[in-house]
Amino acid sequence: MNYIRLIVLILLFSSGLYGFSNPPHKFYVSVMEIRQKDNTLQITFSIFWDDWSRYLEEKQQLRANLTSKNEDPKAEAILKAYLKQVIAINLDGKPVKINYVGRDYESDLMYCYLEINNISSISKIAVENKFFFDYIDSQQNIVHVIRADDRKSLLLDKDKPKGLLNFSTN
Amino acid sequence: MNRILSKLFSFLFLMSAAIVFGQEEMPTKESGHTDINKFRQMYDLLATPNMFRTASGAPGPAYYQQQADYKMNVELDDKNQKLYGEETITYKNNSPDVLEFLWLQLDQNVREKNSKSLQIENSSVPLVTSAERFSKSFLSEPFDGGFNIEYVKDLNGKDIPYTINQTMMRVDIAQPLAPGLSVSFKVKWWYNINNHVTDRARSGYEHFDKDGNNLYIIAQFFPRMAVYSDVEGWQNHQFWGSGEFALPFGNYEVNITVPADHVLDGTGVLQNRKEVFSKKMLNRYEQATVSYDKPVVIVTQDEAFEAEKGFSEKKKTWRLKADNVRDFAFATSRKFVYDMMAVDINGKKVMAVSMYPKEGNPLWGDYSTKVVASTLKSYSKYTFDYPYHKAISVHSKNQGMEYPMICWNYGRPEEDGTYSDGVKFGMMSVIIHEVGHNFFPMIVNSDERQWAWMDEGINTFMQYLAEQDFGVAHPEAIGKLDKYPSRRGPAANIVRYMSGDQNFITPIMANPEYVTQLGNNAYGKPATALNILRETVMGHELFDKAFSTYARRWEFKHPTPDDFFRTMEDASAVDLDWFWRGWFFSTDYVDIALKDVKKIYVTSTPTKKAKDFAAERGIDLSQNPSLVYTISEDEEDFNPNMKTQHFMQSATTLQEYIAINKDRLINTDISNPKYLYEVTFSRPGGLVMPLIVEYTYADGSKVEVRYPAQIWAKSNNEVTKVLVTDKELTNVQIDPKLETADIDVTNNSWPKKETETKFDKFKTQIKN
Repeated sequence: MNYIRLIVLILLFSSGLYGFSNPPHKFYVSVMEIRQKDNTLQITFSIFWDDWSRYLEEKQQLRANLTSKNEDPKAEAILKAYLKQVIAINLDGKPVKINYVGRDYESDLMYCYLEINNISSISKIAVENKFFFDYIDSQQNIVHVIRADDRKSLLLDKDKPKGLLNFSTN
Repeated sequence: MNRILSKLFSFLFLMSAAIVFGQEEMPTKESGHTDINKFRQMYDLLATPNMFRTASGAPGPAYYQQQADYKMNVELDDKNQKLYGEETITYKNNSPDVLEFLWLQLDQNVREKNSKSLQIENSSVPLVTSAERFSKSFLSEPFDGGFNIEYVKDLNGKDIPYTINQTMMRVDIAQPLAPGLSVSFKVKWWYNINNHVTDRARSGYEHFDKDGNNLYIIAQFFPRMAVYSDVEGWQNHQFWGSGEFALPFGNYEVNITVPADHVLDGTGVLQNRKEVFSKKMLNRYEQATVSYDKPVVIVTQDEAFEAEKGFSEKKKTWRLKADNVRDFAFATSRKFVYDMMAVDINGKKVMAVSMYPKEGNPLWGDYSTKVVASTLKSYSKYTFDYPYHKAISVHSKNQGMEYPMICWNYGRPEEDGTYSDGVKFGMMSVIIHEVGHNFFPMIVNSDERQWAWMDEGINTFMQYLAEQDFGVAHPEAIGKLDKYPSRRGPAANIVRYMSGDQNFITPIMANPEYVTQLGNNAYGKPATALNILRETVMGHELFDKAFSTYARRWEFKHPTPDDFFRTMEDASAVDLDWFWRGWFFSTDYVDIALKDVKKIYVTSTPTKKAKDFAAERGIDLSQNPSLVYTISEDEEDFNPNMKTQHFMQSATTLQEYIAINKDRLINTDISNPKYLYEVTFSRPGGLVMPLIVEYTYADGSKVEVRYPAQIWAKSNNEVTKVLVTDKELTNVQIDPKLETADIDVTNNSWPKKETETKFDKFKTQIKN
């Protein structure tokens, strides 16, 4: 890791102001796993749902009752639109269409499932993920791209919402 | 296996190993290296034992700790959200060292207008933000929440010089403080209380717009003595925001003056209950002290609702006294509903207490105090009997934070009183966690500023046990679930973190100010590691004894990580250096793989491999007609006909031998061996772990074998085991119950299984 990057990481995690105290999670991070399976890219994106719930309340004025049986259906519609707005993927320099498959909850996480169809082998993948960059200053979005046994990662934040990964073609 | 047969097999396998070796070319000469075996002892990492701390992990004969006693008068200005205080600190030097000056902690200075903690924060212009947030961030005068120190004086009223460096204050006492002596001095201060909801802070107030009232959760509110110890000297590392607190024990007498219509509770025994409680409250309190099955409400929701409408100009002073605590905190508001119940801790009565505004109901009234009671019982069972007389859980909007006898916890229902399971279990878990902190670090008083995991990790591990206990004790609270849905503890839950990019992972043994992913680093991973130790490496009996030994040895003392590591071995005779080194000092992960399963046959005909081996060494195999040879199905000279035969059928020599020695060849385990397998395991991951293997046979029967971690001591990256059975092997599975946090389970089975991703599972589910 280069020096500047290290500094950014330290800054992000030292959370005297935002961050806070001692709840079971006092850091804001999401994980996106992009996995190639045959000719589709399976995208599993997870984020703490309590943060999403606060976002809906504070930014969208929606108390959605997330995870309960009577969750407001507007919540998923907003999620779908928001994902479309904040996530963009380019394969070998070309933007691709990302389909929303669905979402579910497990423990304290909300998992969002997205997919990209009809792809050939990936060699260059550019991922932009601005989830919560408009809401939580210290939000970090981690991206893992898994192709066969090859695995590469990105750490995205407000200063660097986009990254490019090169997979050798052999 | 019978001894003779076993010798024969040993010979055969020695030979097979030799064949493999014989085929390798000698490598070019490499340079030497130091001991890098995973099982080397931790002499390079642990402090040398001394008279203060022993090699067994206990306090040594010269162990000491300082004492800081406080007498304080505090007054809250509810109208202007300011807190005024005056304290007399008596500091006793129990160390063998002469102290030239004293260090006090001014934690509120992290909220000074020009705080350096603010300066190290990343600031950038947001892409999108609310008008309110934008104005607050960039256009308004920054909030000044630092301490205003009015004076530091000796008991004769003479000023004592002091110097403030960020969050630390050095008090230059007139005379150096010799060992065994005490010094008393006075400090007067005030500060602006911050809004902890908008500022996301550990303490402060929440403002309720609808009724105009504030709910105060007040902590780090007075200049506190820093720790002086044999390991750090003065622990005067600045408070930057993540590394929490290091505090000496002492006795506190605190008088807190608040508006007369407030209800207040805090650390310590209330000294003037009759003055501050109404008659009604006193009667209900008496009932609560004998109510062991459910809470008794001391201030009802209706009464709190009435109180909210007023604002008393009168004052009331609450007097609290606490012995042997490391800190002091309190909560006060006219909004509080207040309930209590008695808990029996091995014959001693402890009060479980909750304070919450009506906004927390009905959730809080239903569960908070019951969760507190259950937590005290669970933790006492695994450590020591809870020594204080009460534990309070205070409702706060989005806050979870611990202090002696009192903690703040989140979990707020919707306005109509409904709440999701997520909110309910989140609230229960945080209460268990924060009440549990009474044990670690309030009583087993580790240095949080340096080691977040020693309280957070150990406590999160205990939280898991207490959550599971709560689920058993209160099935009505967990609804349809078969057990409490714990977030942290089970090995499988840490895989996502440990398999992540190494650039974003820090070893557990690191300072909280710079670790990446503090939640996983200091809470999740150490908790999981301890759970794995208990479930998989040590077993409940050895672990529980060692763990409670650690807690008891360091009850009301200051342990270091080394004391913990050493005690766990001392009381169990389980060598754990490999475990601490791997899990706590490195970012290695577990990945154990099933490399190969070979079905082996025995024959009297020399195999190609054996012939090559012999030829290289000039051995004439025909001179040794009694030898038998082993061959696996993938070797080129394997005769496929053998597949239909018994594995020893082609070995006439062996059969003759068996016939002659029949009486001596009795194997009680396998009377009729029919199959011979060689199973090879490899270790792509850096961590060594016990090798847990489930063998499944053609008749559906399963056998689980648990090889100790030391299986990796001699053959570091690969081990082979031989299996002689009377049943055909159909499946081999490593870690079938997912108890080792193996990050890649796709290489854990034979035959290889196609593993379903979370994505696949979801797609299948929505299709159906």
